[in-house]
Amino acid sequence: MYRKIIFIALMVFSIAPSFAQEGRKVWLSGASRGVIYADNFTTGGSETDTVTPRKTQSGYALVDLGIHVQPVKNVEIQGMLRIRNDLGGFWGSGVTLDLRQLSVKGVIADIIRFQLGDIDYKLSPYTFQNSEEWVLQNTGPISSVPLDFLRYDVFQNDDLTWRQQGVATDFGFQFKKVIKEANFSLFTNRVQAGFNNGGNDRMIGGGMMEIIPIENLRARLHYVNLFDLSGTSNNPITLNNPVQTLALMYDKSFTKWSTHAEIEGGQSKMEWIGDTEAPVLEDGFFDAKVSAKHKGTGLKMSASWREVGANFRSPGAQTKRIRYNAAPQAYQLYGNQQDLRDISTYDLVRDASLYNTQIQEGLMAFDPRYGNATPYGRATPNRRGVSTGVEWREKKEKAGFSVGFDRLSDIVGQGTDEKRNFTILSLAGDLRIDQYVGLKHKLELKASYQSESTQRGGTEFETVDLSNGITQIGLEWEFLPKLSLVGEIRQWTSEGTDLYATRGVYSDVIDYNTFETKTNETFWGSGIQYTFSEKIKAQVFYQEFSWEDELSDKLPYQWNNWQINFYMAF
Amino acid sequence: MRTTLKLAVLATFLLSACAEKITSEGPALEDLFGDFSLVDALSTSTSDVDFSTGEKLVLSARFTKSADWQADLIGLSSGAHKVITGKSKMLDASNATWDGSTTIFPMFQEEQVAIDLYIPEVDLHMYDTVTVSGVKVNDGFLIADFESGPNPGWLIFAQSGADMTFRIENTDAPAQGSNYYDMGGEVNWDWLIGYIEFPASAYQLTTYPLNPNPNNVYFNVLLYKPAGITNALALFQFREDDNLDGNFNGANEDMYSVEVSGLDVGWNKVSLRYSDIIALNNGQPVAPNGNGFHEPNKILNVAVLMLANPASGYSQLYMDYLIFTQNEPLNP
Repeated sequence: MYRKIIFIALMVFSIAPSFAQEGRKVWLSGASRGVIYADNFTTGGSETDTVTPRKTQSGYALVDLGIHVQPVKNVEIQGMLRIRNDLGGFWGSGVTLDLRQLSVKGVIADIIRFQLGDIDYKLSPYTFQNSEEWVLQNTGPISSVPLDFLRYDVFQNDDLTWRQQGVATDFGFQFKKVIKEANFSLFTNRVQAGFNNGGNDRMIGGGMMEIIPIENLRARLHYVNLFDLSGTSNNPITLNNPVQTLALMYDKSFTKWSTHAEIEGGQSKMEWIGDTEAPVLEDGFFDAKVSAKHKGTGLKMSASWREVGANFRSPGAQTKRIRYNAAPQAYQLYGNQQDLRDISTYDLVRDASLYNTQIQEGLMAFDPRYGNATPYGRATPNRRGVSTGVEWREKKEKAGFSVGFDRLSDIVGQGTDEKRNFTILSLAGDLRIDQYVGLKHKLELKASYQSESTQRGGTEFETVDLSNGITQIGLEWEFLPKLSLVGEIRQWTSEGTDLYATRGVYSDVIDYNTFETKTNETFWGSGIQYTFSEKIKAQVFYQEFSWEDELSDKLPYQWNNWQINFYMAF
Repeated sequence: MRTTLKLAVLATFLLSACAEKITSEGPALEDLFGDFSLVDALSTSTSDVDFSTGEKLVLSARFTKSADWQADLIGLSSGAHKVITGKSKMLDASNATWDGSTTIFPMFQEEQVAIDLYIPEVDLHMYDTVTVSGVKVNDGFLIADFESGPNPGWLIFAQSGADMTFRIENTDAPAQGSNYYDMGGEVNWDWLIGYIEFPASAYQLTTYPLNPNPNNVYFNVLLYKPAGITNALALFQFREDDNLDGNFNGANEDMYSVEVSGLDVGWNKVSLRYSDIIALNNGQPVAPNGNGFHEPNKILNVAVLMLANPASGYSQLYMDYLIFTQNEPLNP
């Protein structure tokens, strides 16, 4: 292992002279961080837990070293190596060396852009988009630090792209007559490798054709297909799941307002070729959205209406970020009976193993406590209704707020004619107090509230009523130059009952599990942060997290934690 | 331009309108969570069923909601026991058909069978009876069911140990018919208690008349372990005549073997796909000595060796109904 590291180090230093001599032919980028956790776990309940180890220390230091090579003007090769040493690893033990990413990108004949290898790609919210989980839409200054580490590690990018391995290309043409522009984007990625007696090679591919007939109007035709390549294994059954959509976008600017209108509609088909018992799932969706922004005040308003069929299946859009059927790594078993611990919001910001990095067929499992209304993002099937929103941001970033309200319902009832109604509310605001009271250094308050409710009437067994809510307040005060105090309080609750639909191998509903919960999660943390620069920070945090479900046989617990972070990007 | 826009909007609507609409999703909640009541009581498709002709018995009942149910069919003479379970709103040919097979041995005889349909959710029993006028016929090549005594072509050897009962018996309940083979005894100087060889010649055949594809051939035997016996080991050997000279030569022809032990007390069904049976030497996997191909159509001889550790004392197994079946294991 050490020989490898020395070799790489020599390689890096050996290219440094060319870096100096030949300008930007070869250059480096990367990031580095060191994290140390000191956890203290206390099982609640009437009985003392004498089995679970209470205190654990863990951590790591890692460096991501990206090497960019530009052999010719229009081609760039990027490779990134990750060297990681877990806490407790000395003299090479515990050290890992991984190739984190490798890609080639360039432009052919100044027309066709291409990217090969590890690529980030996104189309529309109904075809290929890595949608954000509802439960993690707002995080405070403490919890967002490990969450950002985690998202960086598993490529859950803010721009909602999927990190995949494959090839992508885009190119465009301009015309003098009939239409102004035509742009094309194509991609194909391998989702899984085939193996004998198992599955076939699985690919996802497609693209987008954009026509711009006039200045403010764009029409986009999207096509994405998740499909198996027959003959790559002994399995005679091949999945075929094409999705095609048409989207229109229109922008119009007035004296005081700029407006945007967007519609997208399409359909999907999911079939298992060669499986005579498999159904063919076909359905469609329609989504219309208008928004307007006041140029003077920065106030933005939006409203949309959508309908997504119950059998609409779009893996590129509906695959979840989180694998809710996984078990958390830290304190996985606890209590004297060593019960399996449920995933909590604290695990969601710390545990990378809970995250999914690959497109999945069908509809993944979800936890109704952490998002029941739209578990598969905007493309959640069997939903119809309106979404509205108001946003405002002060021009100098002194303050801002956003309000969102969705009212959705089932299109078809699950096992009944009665339909569930979903109400989603989100409020978020931030205020730079220092800007208003004349302080020299930053004092910022952020607060958010999210709630969603699921309700259905009818007979005793048809009635469901589940409410989830998250309240969060975060504060950052730079009391000395570059030295800040940060604090965060978050409370999350889930209470009520729903019938959780169990899906079979063909992603159809085959049964229901009665889901009852009265869960309360409380988190608070505070700490100190030194900001070397926006890209280099050192932090020491103390956090307390407690979990309890009054209706569950799982024991309550409290999880305290000291955390030291140092991270930098270069 | 306006025309283009209109067409595009229209196309968008059409795309979504083309979608197939469904009216409901998933099983009905009423079926799963509603109140239970009986719509149609238990009934049978016939009161007299002859399984030997391929006839089947269908149980029928209907409830207001889907419920777990269990039908127990018990032979009043043999004690044979068939269990059919399910979760549904209705019992019909799709989920409650009896082909005369057995879940708990012995096999059914021509007898009266009592039927008990039980719905645990409401603790409801429904009863009926039916007459079996012909028992199920199992397709395949029957090696031995011991009903007509020993075949003169079989080769039987028993050690001269203590308490030897290496013979056909009918004193305890057989798995099938009236007789079974009792392989009991204590031999304190050798693992072997006794053996039976079933050569193809005993049936006036050169080799066993089986499908040549070893994936399609299953060997089945019913074995009974008495309570208190922990040391019984049955070794089944399949000797192939690779060169088709009418003889088996262990030095250069294949012999595949399987050791059966660890059975539950009572009758057990042992079914093995021929291609899964390997060559053994002293219980350890070895390469076969012949051409190395599983060739069921070249089996010359099937041998059963009753073994026990000589230091472990008395041992005993009953054996019944040795049969080769094709394409699937025995469904007795």
